[in-house]
Amino acid sequence: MTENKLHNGVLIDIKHLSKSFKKIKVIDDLTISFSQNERVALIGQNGAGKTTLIRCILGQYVYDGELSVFGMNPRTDREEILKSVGFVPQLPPPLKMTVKEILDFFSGLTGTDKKEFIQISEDLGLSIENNLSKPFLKLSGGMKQKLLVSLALGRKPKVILMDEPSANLDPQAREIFFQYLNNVSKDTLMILSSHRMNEISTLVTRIVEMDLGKVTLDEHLVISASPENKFSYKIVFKEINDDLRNILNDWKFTAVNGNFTWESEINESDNAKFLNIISHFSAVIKDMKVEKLEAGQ
Amino acid sequence: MKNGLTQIAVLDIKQNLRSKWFWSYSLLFGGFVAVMFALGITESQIIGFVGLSRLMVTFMQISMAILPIFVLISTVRSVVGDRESNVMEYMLSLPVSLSGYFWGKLLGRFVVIFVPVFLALFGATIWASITKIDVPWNMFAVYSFQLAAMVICFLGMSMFISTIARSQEIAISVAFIIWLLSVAFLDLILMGVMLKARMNPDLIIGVGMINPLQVFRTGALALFDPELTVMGPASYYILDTVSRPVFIIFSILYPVLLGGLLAYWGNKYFNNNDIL
Repeated sequence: MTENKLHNGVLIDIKHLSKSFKKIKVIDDLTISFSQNERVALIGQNGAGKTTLIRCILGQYVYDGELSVFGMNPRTDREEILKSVGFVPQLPPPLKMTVKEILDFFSGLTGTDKKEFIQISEDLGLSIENNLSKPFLKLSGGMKQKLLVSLALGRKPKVILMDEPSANLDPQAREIFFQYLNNVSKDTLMILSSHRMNEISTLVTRIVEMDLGKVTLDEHLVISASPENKFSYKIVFKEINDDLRNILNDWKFTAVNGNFTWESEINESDNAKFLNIISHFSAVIKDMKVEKLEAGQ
Repeated sequence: MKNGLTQIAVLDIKQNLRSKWFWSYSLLFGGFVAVMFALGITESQIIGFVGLSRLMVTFMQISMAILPIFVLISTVRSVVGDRESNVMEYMLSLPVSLSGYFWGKLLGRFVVIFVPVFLALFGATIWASITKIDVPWNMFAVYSFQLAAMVICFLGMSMFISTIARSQEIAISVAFIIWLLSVAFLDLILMGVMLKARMNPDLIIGVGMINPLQVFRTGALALFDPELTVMGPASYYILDTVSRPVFIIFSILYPVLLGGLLAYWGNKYFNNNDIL
């Protein structure tokens, strides 16, 4: 990557990236870049290529094309790159180490004070002190995930890669977790691979959708919005399922005139995110009225 | 030093110290020495071996039977096992060099496999000193090096297989076949058949010198001047052709080089291909 691009805040630059397994293309001529300050939702069906892309960025696969992280090659400069990358995997690995050994190992390897990891774990609701001697393998799914998240964030990385990070968390922990992510330094590039778009919609500033190894949607959601301005919504649906109902509830919609007409007001800064989400339900929208409410209106 | 090598090695050692196999394995070798002393094997004399040297030779024979298959089966799953269980995906998302990871695993495994065997042998010399039995220190030194060389040889082989195998089942099958071939080409079995069939002596020596297990066995017995019946035909033939000091040095250098070369290729493959 050129110095110019680094100055423009591009941290990950991908050009014509392809990756095949046994002649099956999992990533197909992908060109995309990710910059500092971005919070990216990487979405797509199973087999879309999300995990493969993350593994290429982590230097775990050889590939065709160009891929640079901080202007370096993830295969040849992996140690230098990974010092500044925090990763949370989709499935917690069956580590046999105790929690104490994990903390010692991470601390020794990354030079991070153990207190940083412990503090984040405590914030996420995992008491480290009570679990120090327990093998990681014996922790519950939620506890494992909280520890992995704290190990990734405690290092204060420049890039955070998370592959379905909230899959094992209970609803309460999930809420705390996303609040926590919201407070991560704005300079950090965050890439979240997730199926639960509604969960991360309020967190991300960009949505990248992948299908069959290609980017099918790349939408930047940062707009010069006034925090005081709002949009008034009135949507009439032909039918409603539980997913849609949950999303509407999340966005503080209320049902009027029965179960099919819903109303709410949405901040201008969140409007693009909401439109993106609701666009997935366009087939069941019968009518929609949107009105911009200026500040004080 | 490779980044992460020490941390990975220490982690591997700690992990193995907690496993049941390690303690069973240590108990096996330690218990073996204790049983030998208890049975009074140092006081018996069979075909020229007497005292602690008798115990040490028996110890080497037992090691030859147990160590290779043990090293192969326990180590061959390390890299491919980590790959299959997603441990590697996570560990290698950390600032650890690929070579640091590979050599760290190998170093950690060497420590947990070699130290119990060495301590058992060393413990025998200490007990012999206490009970006023003469200790053949030269023999102890040569045997220690030969044991270390054999562990390195089969560790390198195992790490190579573990790196290129795509599943644990394949890795274990390959390891088992290698062990079977090594045993089959010991002089007492196939080599004897080859001699009986009056095959070219150079071919017999060549096969014997390639097989690390045969080299280990011949090297361990080369310190003595025993009869053909003890050594087996191939060892006898080899030592009749090559001088004893040269063969003892070869019995240490060859397994180390073979294991080192295979480990080097394994590491190269690991560095140049998909990790997962």
